[in-house]
Amino acid sequence: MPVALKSNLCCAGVETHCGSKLLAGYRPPYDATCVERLVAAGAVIVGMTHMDEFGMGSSSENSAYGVPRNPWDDARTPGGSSGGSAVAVAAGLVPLALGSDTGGSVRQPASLCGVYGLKPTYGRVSRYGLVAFASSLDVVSPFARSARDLELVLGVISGADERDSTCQPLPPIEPERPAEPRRLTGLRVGVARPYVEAAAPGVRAACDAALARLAQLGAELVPVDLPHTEYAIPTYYVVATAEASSNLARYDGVAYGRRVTGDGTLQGMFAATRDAGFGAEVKRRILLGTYVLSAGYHDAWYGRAQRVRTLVREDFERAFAEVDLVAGPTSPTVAFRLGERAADPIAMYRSDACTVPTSLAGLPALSLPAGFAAAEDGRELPVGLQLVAPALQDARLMRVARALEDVLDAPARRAPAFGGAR
Amino acid sequence: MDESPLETLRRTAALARLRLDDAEAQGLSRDVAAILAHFQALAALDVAGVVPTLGGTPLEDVKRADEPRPCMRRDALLANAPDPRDAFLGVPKTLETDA
Amino acid sequence: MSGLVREGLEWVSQATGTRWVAVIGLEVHAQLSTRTKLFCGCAYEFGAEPNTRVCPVCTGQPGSLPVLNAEALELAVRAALALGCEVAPRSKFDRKNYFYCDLPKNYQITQYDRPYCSGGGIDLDSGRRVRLERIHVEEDAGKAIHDRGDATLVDFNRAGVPLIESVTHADLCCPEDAGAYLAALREILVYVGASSADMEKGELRCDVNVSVHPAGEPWRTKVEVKNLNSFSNVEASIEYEIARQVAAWESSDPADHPVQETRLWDAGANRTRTMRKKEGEADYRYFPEPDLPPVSVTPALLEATRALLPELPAARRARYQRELGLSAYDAGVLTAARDVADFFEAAARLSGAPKDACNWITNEVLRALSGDEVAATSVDELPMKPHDLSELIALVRGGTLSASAARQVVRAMMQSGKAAGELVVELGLEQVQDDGELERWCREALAGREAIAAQVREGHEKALGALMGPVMQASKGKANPQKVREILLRLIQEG
Repeated sequence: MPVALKSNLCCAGVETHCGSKLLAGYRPPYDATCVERLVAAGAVIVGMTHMDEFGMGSSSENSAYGVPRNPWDDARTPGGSSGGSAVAVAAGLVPLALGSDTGGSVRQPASLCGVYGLKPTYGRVSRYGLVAFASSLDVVSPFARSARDLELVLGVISGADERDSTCQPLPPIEPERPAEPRRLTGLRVGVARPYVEAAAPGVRAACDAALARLAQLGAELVPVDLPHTEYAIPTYYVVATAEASSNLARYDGVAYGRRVTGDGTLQGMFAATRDAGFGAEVKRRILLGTYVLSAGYHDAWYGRAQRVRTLVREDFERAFAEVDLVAGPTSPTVAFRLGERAADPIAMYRSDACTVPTSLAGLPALSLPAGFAAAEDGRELPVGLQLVAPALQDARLMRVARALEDVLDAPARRAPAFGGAR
Repeated sequence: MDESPLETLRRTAALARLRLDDAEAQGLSRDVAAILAHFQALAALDVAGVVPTLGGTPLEDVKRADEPRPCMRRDALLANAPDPRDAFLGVPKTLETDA
Repeated sequence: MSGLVREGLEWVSQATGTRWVAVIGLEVHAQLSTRTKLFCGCAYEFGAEPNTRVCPVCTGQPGSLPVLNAEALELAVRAALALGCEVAPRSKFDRKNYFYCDLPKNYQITQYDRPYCSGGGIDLDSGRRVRLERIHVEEDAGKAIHDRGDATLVDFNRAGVPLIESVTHADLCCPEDAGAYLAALREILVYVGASSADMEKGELRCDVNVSVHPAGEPWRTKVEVKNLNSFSNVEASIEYEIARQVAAWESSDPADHPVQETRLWDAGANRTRTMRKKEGEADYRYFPEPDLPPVSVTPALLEATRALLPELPAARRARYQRELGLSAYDAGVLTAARDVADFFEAAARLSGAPKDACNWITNEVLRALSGDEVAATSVDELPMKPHDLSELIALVRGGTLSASAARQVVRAMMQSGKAAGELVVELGLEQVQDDGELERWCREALAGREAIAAQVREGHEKALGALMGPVMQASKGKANPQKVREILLRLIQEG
């Protein structure tokens, strides 16, 4: 089985540059746990895919190595940061690819490219060998063209790993095999009001249609509020950049990476190496993260964000007291044009409105191809429906996605070969 | 703190070992200010009595036995090094003994 | 910087007459005696080839993750209990962020606001108590070598080695306090097996905080001194800082007054000097280490650890004096190392003769261990065991062996590990008890020594010693001195 890997998953001896100039030529001395397990299960690693530098972006444009294009329309982004892996699966180059999802970096590109993407429960897949962006949020996450393939790959890569202290000591994820796989009778699905409200009308319509199919299968739809959703983006960006500022401190030109000597002093070499090696968005986030941890600002920003994170988590705990799943759009919009949000970081951060809350809560969430919506130029582009489950209920997501797969048209549609070209 | 936003940015950049030219610093200073202004909603929220979430995992007490594992070959370390010097990693001469 | 006269715990300025007192605190890093590093399975070894005790984790390779060494936490808890600290039921790890070439990740995993223990302390012989503020677990950095060629060279072997950092309150008043505290701390850490605490191997490292103020006035600016790699450096640097700071405070120009700074001890020049000033103040941006879940020390683990703690040296010393009647000096010598004290106690118990056991150990065993005559370098390595020594003591007490013969037997036991009785036969050292033979040697000794016999007869019994010598010589040390004495006296009286 050919598998593509996001370029932040360590593959011994294979260049793993994380989309960064700084890590050009870096060949890890070891395999990530997920890579080791894939290879042991017979997979063939066919290559490393394009990404936003160190996972920081929602369009895969923040890279030192060019820009990937959406197979449905090559003027548009495939999303990010795992854009390359999404494209590889959507374009039919590989049946499976791994990415990493920190705030939506697999779910959003899956949505924009019309494929399946699952962010497992935090800690369900070992992070050992996943180059860290934000350690308390990062999850190794697969793309596939069917829910069944997701079950297959998760059965291989998930499960206990003594090399990752945050990895759950549990066996690999087993698929649910219900007696009536095509029925969802009794399943209570909470429709996330804030996600729906954030979505463009076409996206909303496509999601509504998919949700109506869920209801036809027997699921009961109820609205859920998730009242702290509006705080999730600032909370996420404070926590993620704080961790990133520390995680990326190691890129200093001492033991690996491309060194720039600078003024000849040690600290000057650090600064020159990082100046030359990091792109604008990475610098922006390192600065933001350094700032929110620095003396005098720590409590107001980082300390507060840790508390709001609790509130966001509790939103879901309350919701899951009533429902079995939460559902809503994965991305507020369909694929946007390349360059459209590149100059506006805040607009780019808003792309993550529906995905960061589940990341903060560590919950499993799946994006499935729900339908299509017309972009402003009339092009029909994929829309993803996001399903969120309680912690460790990853299999439930895939079971519901499987049931929907049979009744939706979107999963069967393939991106046109070279077809996105204008 | 009587620091201008640009001064704050420069101090923060120094902490993060990012060397920025003036244009870059000014642009980033504007960006960060705009982002933080956008994030002000956080400041308005009442978080009194809320327990902070310290990390991503609910686990506790994860430990390993004190058993040696094979080390990595030195060549494997030095293969990625920008300036390998015999058995060592070379860096610009420094007299500091601490950061 | 002359003109300062020490009077007890005060330093009197000859120029101004001001009586200065010193306030001193210590931060001590001790390496825990684990087999592997704190967060990876690399086995660290002092003096290993550079960059050979490393792996992806301790060299900070992208994507690698730390996993806590359970033994490190247990040793740390053992040290905490031995120092009378309060162990926290829950603690966590944090990242301390700063950039330096010996720090592979440019952050150090340490414990910031929730260390695993707090409180505790050590009572010094001076009667002063040094209270501990806290102890925390952290990883060591690598080593940067600055004195070779035109580049600084980095070796990551030491990176990730487990340390405990103990921080005292500023309870110390003079250089000797610091020396005494370090010696006591070292002794305890070694005793409970938490650390070998060898300063020459960097297993024990000390930073000092010193300030001075006129007696009765508030405390003043403190100065940190680093780079102290021996007890004597620690004391010398404090001595130097007290003099330097007093002179600085007494300067008429306020610009000369001490500032809050970090200084380095220059052992060659016997002085401290300002470390290169940092850009801005240190801002370590601590935050909880997201790669490590919190850890707890359960009451069960605490009790199990407490049960395994040996009796500490100070308590042992007191008991040896109180219950076994040993001198303070002997008690100190015996308890300086745990294996020696254990050996002594076993031998004393088996023989029922603690003073004899003490004498043999302090006079013969320890001397042999410090010299070349035995291969062993510690009591544990000796082939001679406590029951061997106890058997020897019994042979001497029973009159089978003379003291000089017994010394030969002990030396042989330390080399061969054979039983005392066996060696006595092998070396032909049984004391001669046969009265006939003893009397023959005595008569030979008396022949031609009439003057001495006369002195003895007149009551100068000490003169008998001059007759004992020839007898012992004739018997090759095997004559029982008590019996020889009796026979000589009888022969002299018989005239």
